[in-house]
Amino acid sequence: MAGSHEHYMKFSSPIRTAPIIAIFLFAAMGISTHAQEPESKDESTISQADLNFFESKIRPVLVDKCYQCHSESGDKVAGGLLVDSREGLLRGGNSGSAIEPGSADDSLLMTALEYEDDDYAMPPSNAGGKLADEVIDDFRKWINRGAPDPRNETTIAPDGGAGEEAKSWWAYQPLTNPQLPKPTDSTWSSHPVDQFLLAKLEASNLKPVDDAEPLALIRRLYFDLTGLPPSPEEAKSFQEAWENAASPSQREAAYERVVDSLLASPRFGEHWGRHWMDVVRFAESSGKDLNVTYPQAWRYRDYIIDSFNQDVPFDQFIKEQLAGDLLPADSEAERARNLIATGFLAIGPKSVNERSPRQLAVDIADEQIDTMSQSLLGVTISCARCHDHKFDPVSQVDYTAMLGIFLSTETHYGSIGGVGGRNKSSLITLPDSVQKDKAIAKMSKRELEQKQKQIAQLRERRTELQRQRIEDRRKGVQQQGNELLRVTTQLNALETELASFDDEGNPVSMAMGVSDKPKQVSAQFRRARGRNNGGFVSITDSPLFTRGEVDRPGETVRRSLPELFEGVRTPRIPTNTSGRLQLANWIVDDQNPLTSRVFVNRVWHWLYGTGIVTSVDNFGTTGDTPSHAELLDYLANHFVQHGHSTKDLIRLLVTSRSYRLSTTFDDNAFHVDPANELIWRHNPKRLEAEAVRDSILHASGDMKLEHPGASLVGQTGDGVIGRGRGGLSERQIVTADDPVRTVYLPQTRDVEPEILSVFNGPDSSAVQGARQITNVPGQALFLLNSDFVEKHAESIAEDILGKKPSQRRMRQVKPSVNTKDFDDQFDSVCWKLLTRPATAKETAAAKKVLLTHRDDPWLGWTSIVRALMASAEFRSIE
Amino acid sequence: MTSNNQNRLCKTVTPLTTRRDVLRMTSCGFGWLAFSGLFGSIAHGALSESLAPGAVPLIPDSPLAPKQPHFPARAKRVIFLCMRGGPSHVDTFDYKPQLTKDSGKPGPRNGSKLLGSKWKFSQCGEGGLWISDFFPALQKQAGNLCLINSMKTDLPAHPQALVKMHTGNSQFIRPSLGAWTLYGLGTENENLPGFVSIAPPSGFGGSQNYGSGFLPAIYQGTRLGNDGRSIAGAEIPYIQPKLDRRDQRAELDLLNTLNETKLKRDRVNPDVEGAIEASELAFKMQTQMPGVVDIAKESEATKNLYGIDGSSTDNFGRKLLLARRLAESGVRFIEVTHGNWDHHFNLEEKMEQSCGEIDRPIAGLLADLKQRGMLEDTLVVWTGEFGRTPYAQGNDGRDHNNKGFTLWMAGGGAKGGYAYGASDEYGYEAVENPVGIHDLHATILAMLGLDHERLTFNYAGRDFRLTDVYGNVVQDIIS
Repeated sequence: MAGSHEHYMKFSSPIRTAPIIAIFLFAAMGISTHAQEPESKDESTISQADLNFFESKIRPVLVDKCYQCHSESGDKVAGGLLVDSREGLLRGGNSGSAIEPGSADDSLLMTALEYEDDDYAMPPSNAGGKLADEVIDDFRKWINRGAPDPRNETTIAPDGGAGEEAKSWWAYQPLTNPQLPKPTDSTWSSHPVDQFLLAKLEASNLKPVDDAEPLALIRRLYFDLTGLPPSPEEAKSFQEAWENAASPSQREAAYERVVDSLLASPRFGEHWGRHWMDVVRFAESSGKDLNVTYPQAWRYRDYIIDSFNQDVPFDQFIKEQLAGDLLPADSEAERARNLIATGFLAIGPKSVNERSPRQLAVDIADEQIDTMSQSLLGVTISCARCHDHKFDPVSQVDYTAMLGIFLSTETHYGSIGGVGGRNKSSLITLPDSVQKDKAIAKMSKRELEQKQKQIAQLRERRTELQRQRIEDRRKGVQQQGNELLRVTTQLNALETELASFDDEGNPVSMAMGVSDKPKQVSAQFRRARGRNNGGFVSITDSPLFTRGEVDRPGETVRRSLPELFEGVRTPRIPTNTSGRLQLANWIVDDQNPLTSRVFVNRVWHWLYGTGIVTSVDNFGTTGDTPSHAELLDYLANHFVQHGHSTKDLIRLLVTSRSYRLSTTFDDNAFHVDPANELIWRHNPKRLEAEAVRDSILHASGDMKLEHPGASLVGQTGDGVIGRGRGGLSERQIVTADDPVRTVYLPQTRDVEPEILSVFNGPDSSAVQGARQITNVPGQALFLLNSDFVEKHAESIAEDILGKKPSQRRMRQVKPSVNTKDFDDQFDSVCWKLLTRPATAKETAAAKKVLLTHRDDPWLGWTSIVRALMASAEFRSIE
Repeated sequence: MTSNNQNRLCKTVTPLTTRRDVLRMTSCGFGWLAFSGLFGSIAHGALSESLAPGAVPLIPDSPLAPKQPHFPARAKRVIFLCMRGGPSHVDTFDYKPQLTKDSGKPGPRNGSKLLGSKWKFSQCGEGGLWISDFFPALQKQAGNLCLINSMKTDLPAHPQALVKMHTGNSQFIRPSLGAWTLYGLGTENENLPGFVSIAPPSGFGGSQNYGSGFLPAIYQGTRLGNDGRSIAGAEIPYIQPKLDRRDQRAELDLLNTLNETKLKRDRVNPDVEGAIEASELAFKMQTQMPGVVDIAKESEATKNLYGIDGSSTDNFGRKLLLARRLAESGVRFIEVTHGNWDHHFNLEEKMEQSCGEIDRPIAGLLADLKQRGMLEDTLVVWTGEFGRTPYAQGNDGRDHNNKGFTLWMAGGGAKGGYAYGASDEYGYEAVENPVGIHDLHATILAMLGLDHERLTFNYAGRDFRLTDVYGNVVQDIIS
């Protein structure tokens, strides 16, 4: 039994009360000895007299007066309290244990029955009101006798999870400080990254392929750093500098100049911010059952882009996103920035139409844990919501300890809420000094007044309908709830809309985000707000929900952080704070081996096309092991020691020789290492959906590069997507074609701009560090047949031929095909789209296309350009 | 040996060595398209030049060309009905009277409480199969159904189990069952994708569930519509060409020249090959696909048969009618998803709803296939990624159960009115003749005339199979 004792010791620390120890003891026994199921002693020990007393005096009252709201079979579980079992009573609800066996005076149940406190008065008036004095007295006697209870309901013990053994998994081990290996070939490169890679290649008797040609290299670098291709001028000037360089160091300098200029370009943040948006499942609507918009989400989008451009240290970046509201700020601007950062926790998918506020509160907290743990730690902690993690060393107790942190956090997601405004939430009002967004129009005085009037009328109508309903109910008339619901919904929509404007009609600057719940709340507050939060109105620890079911709360688990790693301090969480700041500090602790490993691996993945750990979002035991464990640790250390600078890390990687290898295929190397795990060449990559669209816009000269401000969702405001009434229609989103960078297009859940769905755009329902890659006819159809491609191909045709005349004019002019300058013209198009000169064969094939359209050269050129845009080369990075 | 002989040899002895593989073996690893006669611009001269000395020059078929199976097939095509979320078997096709009797008693797992099915079961059709009264229409088709009551899978988690069901491996990215089928048999209509997935989920493995893994990209499924969205009006977007056929052909010739240049430079690049093949297929699809996915021309009687009447059966009925039209047009593998069967809560209400949505449409599909003479060579498979526990979650829900669940087949050589294997008395665990996912895949391939041990693809120096090193064909269920 020594084993099980140990087990209990480890689990017991964060637990506040005693009975759960027994549960874990059983669980431990189950693991180590396959012991019999625990038998409940209650039934065998209860005396006949006690049994009679309970059955005649207590049970009937509980069943009659309490079960409807406080039992598993009831309509709901009010206050989290179940009275249909002895355990339920002992466990209590949101306010703590309902009974203290042996001491009626200390039992909350008695307070309730005796109507001592308005907030706890039970049963409520609609269940008959206060019980008769003699009945209350029976309860007093019963509790003082030790509350003997024959009802035999055992709490389900958490299952045996992966437990301690999983802690030996590589990813949970402390960061090592590996020495640079010494490859045999000391001349190939002195770059540290190359040393690691070359040593492993040599061990497999492989050699890296040749370096990439300058044009391929510059195109790769531009796409990888900014998501856009180089202009023909940029490419040519680099090629020239490369070829005219007098020495290797001059070449190196020419390359590094480009690297630095790209890292300094605002386009960098737009591209790398988009990567991070994938990781944090960025979206501007709730998704799920009722897809309500998040009109303020774009501020968090901009925060991300700015952070990458400013190279905010990654540890700071994480702290802001998890606990920006709890950080000190030197200025209003900084304060605003910190608040907006917490949008990270607020923008997740939500079932705003959920009927049970308690379910919603726990679901939101769970989604936050899931996103936080997968995005930052590469671990699926959420698996422990219903049971101990089957594969990773996270118990349900660990999970619950974290759940308390998020249940103590108010999530401000705004929105119009569900039907009738159900579950709508507040927003954070930003300091006045925060600049208003130019894209959001002022509301005119007339509109404002009209809407205020409408609200007044609707309120009146609602009061009337409510009164009528009460009357109908009294008379026993069939309820007509439809109009009331409609009026409430309409009223809510208008009120929500007006809340985003001040009295002058100026848009108010607000943000999504989080804040700590109040430390303590008055009974009144609890009553008023309790329903919205499912009972979680103040800073609180969470009960362990049996099997994750919110109506089966078990023992309370003190808020804390899991002891996953050796040497990482797990700070105690003070009772007066949610614990998010402690969580953030624990995550960014230099000793936390996951955070830096996971992030440097993500960056590697985005540059090299595949991660050192290929399962970028899963470092747990069901994930992959690193192809270069030492390199990964080297990079993680480097990152931590160099101020958590993302730009520094990227610079380190792209200046390695391995990054600059060509994509040349090598039969022998492929045979040994088909997945290119050892990096014997650079992986050929595909353009992501955004880059496909952005390069088409960029090459055609049609792109607007200035920052567009609020997205379409922000400009349109609150509403339900695809349900009319002011909300965005699906069509508006699918066809959104403002020629801005794709990162600024509306990014709503379940509905997205067409080009994103065709080319495997972001998922946004969950953390997604690696995009899916498909190669299907649908993509070819888009490139060949869409208006989008045609329009921008035509722009390039017009660059060559001048503005296309109207059809009528065309008939008059009867233009003819001119092939005099064709070769040069086609060559320039190839530079624009493929960053290289045209070949003779391609030029001949293109000329044939032009000659097919003798009477309309615009059509001919459009067709030529489209073929280039549809080519595999256009969509790939060599 | 002439190329023709080589071809014949390929088709008769080792039909699954595609010409592509032959090329790979004999040459330096060029993809078939680099030699393909598809593009007039590639001369035969260029072809022999790039072959290794002594290699046999070939003009390969398209990778989608129909191929002969290993042995006579019972089924020519598959319609795979994926019930995403994991339907409860004990409330549908696995009759457990003991569970009903013991409802409320402790279940097989520590602390659990058994939950008997709240629905009646009836014995139906010639084989006397027990089917829940959730399925009044399907009960009438019992004579065509072959139940496998002893299914099991590895993990009780949606993404892993769904991917396992589709690819046989939840850990690595592997080709899906549909892709393997297409690779093995080609398609009967080269103007359509050979593998179509109707309304697949974007999560739970997403495109992996109809992906081609290391197989050539052309074997990947083409998605039509989305899980959770209405299928009405779903079409292949951008199917209307911008140019007339001749002009578009000229554009495509330029496109092919560009792609060919790149492929020649890269020598081996499956991604570019995939893009080339996808462009060609896109070009051909433009003519036929719009007609195939347009169900307007179907008679009212047929629509009614599938439950396409604006009621709760409408959406799934449309999906199945689409599936039949695709099957009829020569598509080899069609998958149709119905979600969401993840009934942790409100089992009673949700089961009523979910079963109601599929009952008439599926019965309609089977009847329609039969009346068209297609049921005998169309294998219909109905399954979730796992089943659900016989014990309760809350009072009115069931949890995931990977230890035992039920799948059924119809047509395509599956024994009608037959139940195979069994779960324990409560339906918790498959105990008699358990069938794992590899066994299932081996059996489906066998019905298609493919030997799962010989259907291999050489990738990175190793012969890969859908069934890895496992899988036993369940001969008993093949008529």
